[in-house]
Amino acid sequence: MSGIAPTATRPTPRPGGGGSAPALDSGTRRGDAVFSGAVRGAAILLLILMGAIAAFLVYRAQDALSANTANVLTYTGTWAPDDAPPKFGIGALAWGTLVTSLIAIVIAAPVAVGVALFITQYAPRRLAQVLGYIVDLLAAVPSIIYGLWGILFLVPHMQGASQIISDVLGWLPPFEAGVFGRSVFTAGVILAIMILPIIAAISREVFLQTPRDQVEAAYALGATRWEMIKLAVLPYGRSGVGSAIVLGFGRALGETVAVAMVLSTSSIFVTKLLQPGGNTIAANIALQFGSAFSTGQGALIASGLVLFVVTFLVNWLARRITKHGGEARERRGLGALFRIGGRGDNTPMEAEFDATATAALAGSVSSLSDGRPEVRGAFEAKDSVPDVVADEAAGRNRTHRATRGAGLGGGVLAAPSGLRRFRSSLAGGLTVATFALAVIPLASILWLVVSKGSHALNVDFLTHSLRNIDEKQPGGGVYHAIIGTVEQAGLATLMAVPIGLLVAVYLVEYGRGMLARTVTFFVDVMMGLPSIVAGLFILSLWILGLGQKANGFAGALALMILMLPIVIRSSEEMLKLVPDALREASYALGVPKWRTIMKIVLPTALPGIITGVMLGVARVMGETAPILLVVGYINNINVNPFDGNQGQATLPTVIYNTFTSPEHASNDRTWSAALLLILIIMLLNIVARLIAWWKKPGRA
Amino acid sequence: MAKRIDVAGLSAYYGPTRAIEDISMTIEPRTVTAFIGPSGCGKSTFLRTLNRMHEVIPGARVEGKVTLDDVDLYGTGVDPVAVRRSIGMVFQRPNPFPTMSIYENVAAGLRLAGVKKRSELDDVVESSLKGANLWKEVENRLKKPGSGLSGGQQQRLCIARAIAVSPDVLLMDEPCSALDPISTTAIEDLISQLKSEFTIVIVTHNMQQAARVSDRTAFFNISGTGTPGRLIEIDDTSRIFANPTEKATEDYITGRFG
Repeated sequence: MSGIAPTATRPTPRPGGGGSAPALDSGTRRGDAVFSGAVRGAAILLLILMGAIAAFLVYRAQDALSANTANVLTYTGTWAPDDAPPKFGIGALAWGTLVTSLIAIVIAAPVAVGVALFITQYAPRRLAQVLGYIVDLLAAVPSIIYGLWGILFLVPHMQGASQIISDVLGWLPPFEAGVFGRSVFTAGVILAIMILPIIAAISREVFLQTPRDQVEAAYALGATRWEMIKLAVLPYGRSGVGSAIVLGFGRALGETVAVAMVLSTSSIFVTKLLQPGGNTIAANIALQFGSAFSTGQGALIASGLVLFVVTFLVNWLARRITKHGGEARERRGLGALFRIGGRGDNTPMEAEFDATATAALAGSVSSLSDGRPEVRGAFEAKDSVPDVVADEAAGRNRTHRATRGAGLGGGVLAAPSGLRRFRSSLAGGLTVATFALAVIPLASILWLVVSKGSHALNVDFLTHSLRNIDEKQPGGGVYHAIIGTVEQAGLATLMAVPIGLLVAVYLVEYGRGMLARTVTFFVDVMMGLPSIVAGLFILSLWILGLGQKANGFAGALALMILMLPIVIRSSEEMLKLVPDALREASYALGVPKWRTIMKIVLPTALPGIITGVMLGVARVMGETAPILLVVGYINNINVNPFDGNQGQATLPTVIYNTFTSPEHASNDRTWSAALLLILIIMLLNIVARLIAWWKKPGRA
Repeated sequence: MAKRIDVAGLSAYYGPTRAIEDISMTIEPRTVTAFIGPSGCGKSTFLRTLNRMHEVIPGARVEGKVTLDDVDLYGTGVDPVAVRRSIGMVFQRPNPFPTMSIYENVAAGLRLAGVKKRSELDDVVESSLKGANLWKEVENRLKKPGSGLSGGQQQRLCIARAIAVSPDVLLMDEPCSALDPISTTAIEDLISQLKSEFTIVIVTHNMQQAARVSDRTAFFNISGTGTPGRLIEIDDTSRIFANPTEKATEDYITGRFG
């Protein structure tokens, strides 16, 4: 903060120039009008954009729906919208989407909550901090990596697991035998592993916010650690964790490539979880898009609309749950997704401090309350009998005196009963177990990517394209994809940051009434948008609607749609953290509002905003699904993203287009591309957090 | 059953920092003992060492001896969970569990102890609320959340919650500092009633309060910032306020220092 204060005291240059009396009108007010017009304009532009997208989507979808000759809800035959007559059904797809996501959430939710409890309540202080960062980083691993690990590692290993499940639960129809790796169940497991870090990261954040006085109240009542968690931590975190789970569910519903890579699809209403077949809306779009013509694209857009509506409802539900638990916590919960550090009215530093303190609290408690049971038992035996007798002898007449003898075991310092002690240890053990359960697949992913990807990752790999490289041939690389990834993400950033920043400034500094509420609503809608639907947006508006080409720029547009809400939300959080006192100090010097925002508010919030932008860039760099729809895939170098005649490769699309190869040389390249992608994204995440940490107000 | 506390040579630390140094005192059963002293002199820290709440803070530790009727609270095999069961605590800000009803708040400690019988819980909740002078006000809304009460009522609810498990000692850390004068009077009256059954220790910033409610008063002080807090003297309240032994106490009480 100290770096900013001098700025506030610097005299404002007067529009009139040297020496004359202060201007009481024109200049400053015109500046304000222009500035507020600009930010309002950006907000309105966002609404127009969303409106146009919705209109084009509905228009395209309607065409295909009216041409459809099959019942769109019940049809389970082949997806054939381009046949004459066109036939396609969305009901079975929607069902498959729900089933895979339900499997995912049933597996992921308890494990993730256990992991969050372990990190916040049981793990030693230092370990807890490290684990927290690791969970955050894992939440940033792109889905293509999960898909790759799923098909090349999990599927072969799932057969054994599926066999066990069908042996045990085979008498239940959904688990009937028919053991096959690429089943709906496997897809659900992949989704579970994918959403686990996200749910765990948000839950951890929520648990860390448990008020200290609640924790102390529970301990002061003589609660064991598990009882304290039940009394203070869980009730407080209930709504936050609930919305984290629903957000995770939303993420699972919209996941595209991981399911497309793992599931062996068919258009049936899935009832047998362990057998191949079934499909999801998102995966179907990715798989069918390549061969779709006009009606086919419309049909996919129609299914995308269904997915959009479902995820929208789910996200709306998540917000409703948190609203129940308080507006402030909702912001924290959503903020946690991007780990900007800003929570509610805390400065990032304070929040960090709180977090550390709470985690440490858990740590120290864990080490201190581990007594020695045998000694304590002796204690109880020695003391309790005479004490109860004494109580009785004294003939205490107050009811709760009597209770004490009966209910509290009587002994002066008798330990909690064996059962309570056992329960507490059991709960602790369970959280450790869930943590181990979560770590195994995630560690396996990282290990596999590093071990398989490292030997082909060399300078040649970084400086050559795949042009004229046969699958069997070693050599070649991803130079072309690095260019594509950097250019598309860069263009997306160039577009998303100014618009997003202006919208955020509008919402925080100007936003009142209907327009602000509408914009906030749409930002929330965009926040939960499945990435494949963002691709469909650009497809229907930019490519089909406006007749533009499928090139790198179209990809950048789709990425911008995904990045905008992240930039807006994180900037909003950061701007809100700027203390009003700073604004008032500036106003009191006669500095107009727009200059106050430009010179005081934005610079103060800048490190946090940069962190948010970098996390946004990291997120869109790993996107596969929208790029599949709007950018053609090529093997050679194309440095011009505006080239209408050829597409561009990106790292995720290289992985997606090469993972099926049976050849070693090609396989090595796929893993190396995956390793490179993870490295870039991790690096961006780490640098983003370092900036947030380094620029923390109050850091000496 | 009120019990006596003996403290001998007690020091408490936050990490490397020593917050209080070499404190020894005896707290008699069925009395109210008040801790007074300037901010940062370690009154609250000392209070929290008496039921092992101090160690809940990361890096915090305690040296020395605290005995409750001859049982060493920091002895081997003594479970801090059990200590806190025997020595209840009321905090500066009322902290009822927000998701629980009034009834459940009071019953929380008993439920932890495994009391399940409804009639028994009903009895204790009623007697505890009566004991905390809150029964008449909440009798008809026991199922309502505790957070719906006023600040003073919430604090009495927290006292009811603490006495429901029949502790031997009740520690109060500035229990009235967040309350208005009327609620403060209600709490002070309550303290006078409760001392017939409990050993009560209260930290207060308000010297009039110490004079009003306590039988014994302990004065704590620090010689400067960064130095640990010390017990200057402990004596009957009337004597501390009328004729203290130590000059520092007199200076503090007469307002010449603070």
